[in-house]
Amino acid sequence: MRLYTPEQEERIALQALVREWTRSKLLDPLQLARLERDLGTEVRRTNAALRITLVFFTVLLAVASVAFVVLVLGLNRTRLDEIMVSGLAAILYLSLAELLVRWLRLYRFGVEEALAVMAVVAFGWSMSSWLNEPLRVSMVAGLLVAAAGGLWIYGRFGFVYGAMGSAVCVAAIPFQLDLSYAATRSLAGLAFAVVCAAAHLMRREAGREVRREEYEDLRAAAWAGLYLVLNLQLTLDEPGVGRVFYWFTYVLTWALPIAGFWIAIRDKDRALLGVNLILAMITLITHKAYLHWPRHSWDPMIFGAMLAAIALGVRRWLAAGPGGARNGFTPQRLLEEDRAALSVLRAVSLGVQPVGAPSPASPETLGGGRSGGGGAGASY
Amino acid sequence: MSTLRYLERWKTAGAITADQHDVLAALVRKDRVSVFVELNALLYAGVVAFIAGVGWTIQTYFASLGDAAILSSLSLLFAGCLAYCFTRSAPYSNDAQESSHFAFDYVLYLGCLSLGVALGYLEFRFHILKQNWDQYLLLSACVYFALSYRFDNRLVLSLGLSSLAGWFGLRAGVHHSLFGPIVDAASLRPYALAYGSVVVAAGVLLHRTGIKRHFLEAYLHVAANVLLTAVLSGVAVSEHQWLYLMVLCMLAGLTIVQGIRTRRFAFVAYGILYAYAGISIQVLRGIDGDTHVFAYFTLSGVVVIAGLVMLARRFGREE
Repeated sequence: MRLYTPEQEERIALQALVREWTRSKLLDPLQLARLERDLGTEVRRTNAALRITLVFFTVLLAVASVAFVVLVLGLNRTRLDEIMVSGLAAILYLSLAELLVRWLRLYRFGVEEALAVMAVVAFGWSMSSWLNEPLRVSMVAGLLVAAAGGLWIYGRFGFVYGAMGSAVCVAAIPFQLDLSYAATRSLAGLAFAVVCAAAHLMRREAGREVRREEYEDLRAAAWAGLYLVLNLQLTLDEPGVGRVFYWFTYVLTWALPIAGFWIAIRDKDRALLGVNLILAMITLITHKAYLHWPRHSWDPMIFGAMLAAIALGVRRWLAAGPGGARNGFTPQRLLEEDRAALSVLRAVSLGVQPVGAPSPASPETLGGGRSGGGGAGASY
Repeated sequence: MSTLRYLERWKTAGAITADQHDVLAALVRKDRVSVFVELNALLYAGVVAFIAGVGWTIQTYFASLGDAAILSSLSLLFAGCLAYCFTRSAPYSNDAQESSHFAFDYVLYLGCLSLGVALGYLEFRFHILKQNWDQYLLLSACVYFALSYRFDNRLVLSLGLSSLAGWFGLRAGVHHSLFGPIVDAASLRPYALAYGSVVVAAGVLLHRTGIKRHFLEAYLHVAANVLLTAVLSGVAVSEHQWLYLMVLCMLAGLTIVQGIRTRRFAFVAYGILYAYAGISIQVLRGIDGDTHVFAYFTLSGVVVIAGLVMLARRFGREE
């Protein structure tokens, strides 16, 4: 079913590894050239920056061209027109994506990715327009089609985010139905749990490394989805649910990151580890709200000190293990990609700074600082 | 074929040594997994949360805590962090340096943030610089730049760059002493252009003199976005649209060429996106009717995508 053979995907993944090893000085450039000859594929690829730019312009072109045709043909915004136009656009986008991969052998090039995703959106829109009464049915139909489409583009093109989007669409269905708050959250959580379990099982059965990595990413994303729909403090209003469900979700906000860490450490799955690190932080931030305890201005200080203490403690504990590692985990940087990830962190720090610049010293303006202008402070 | 089999085959063929095979196979088998990034992220989040809590607590309880307690605590924190860094750092070098300890960069970052809070509080309570209170930003930017170079710390460099940006903005907004008061986007533009030019000039100059060459990219990312945004705003709202468009195209062209030359494709993307936005704004001024607007986006979209595909095939292979 997939447009790329497993051997092609394996070679592409291995090419990336070999380049990373060379950047990390585990191989020399001459060896890289030799190994790359052995890993040759006829697919065409590009780098991340151009890929993102191509996605942007392809979406722009896809939307503008359809709008242009609608205007030239003088189509009105009738239901039939919407069904026809969005349906035909979906077929066109998908066909183009297929052709680009088949003829030009594009692989994660941006253009075919944007077209495939746009096709799914257009199919969902078409179905939603077709069944436009009542609104809930229309939305559910659209989401179901989008979910099926997401799975299709995952199977066909290997876009893992298609499968992730599919899970999100399925989980969004209960929110369209006239259900109680608890039922909505439970069903959405169930959808993510099923995806998570499926990905977990498929990962275990997967014979190929590339597939295993795809399922790991999908599992991590579904795990995050499961947590996010079940942490009731992430909603804007006080959730109107029964006590049992409320406290059940509170227990889950602790249990999920703990279980996630356990699985991630057992499987040595960094995607799941990273996700659960974030989820654990969210649990620590929201648990006071769950317990209806008052917030204090020093809470972030304690939280920050705790995070720093955990980081330093874990690092020291791992480094003290035999060979500077425990259970295979080391605090040392092994590959150059870790340095690149830190560069991203530094770039983020440019925009996110906890304390803003000094502002006009008016005692009346008691502000909490702002981002940017890092340094001298908030207004007090 | 699995990665391990490839490695075995390469070892047998002599493409890699037995030692290399062992190291790489251990990585593939996940005998060793690094949590370096995760621990760094945790420490960064910890420092940011801690200092946010410090600011919030001072803001809430400054009356009961007292000036002496607040300022002495912040000064002690700053001094402690600096003392830690000076006693544990390697001597200064113009080249990139590995941190002597895992937490080193974050200790310095914490110290710099605490200095920021202290300076803000000082002015809030004692009005020492009064109307020139924004000079604190310039002062803190200078301190951050000095410390970032001394200790090779890009987190603190980011702090310095944003403090300098804040100084340019506030200098304009509060004192309007350089290019007149800021009342709209147009009046902010000269300050943005000045800031972008200063940043790019400083970055290039320091790079040419061989001082922390690896910092250049941070300067250029900031400068490219600020300069291109400023000129783009000139195309959007200025009376001299054509002049700004010409400048935008020249700047974008330069960014694209340099991006290709140095294989920093983020700059290629900046150039393309800003230039496209500027040209589109100007073209759409002369077009009326939705049909023409969508025709423009369709045609221009095809042209840009075709150009990008050619560019990607010729220069922008996967990294």
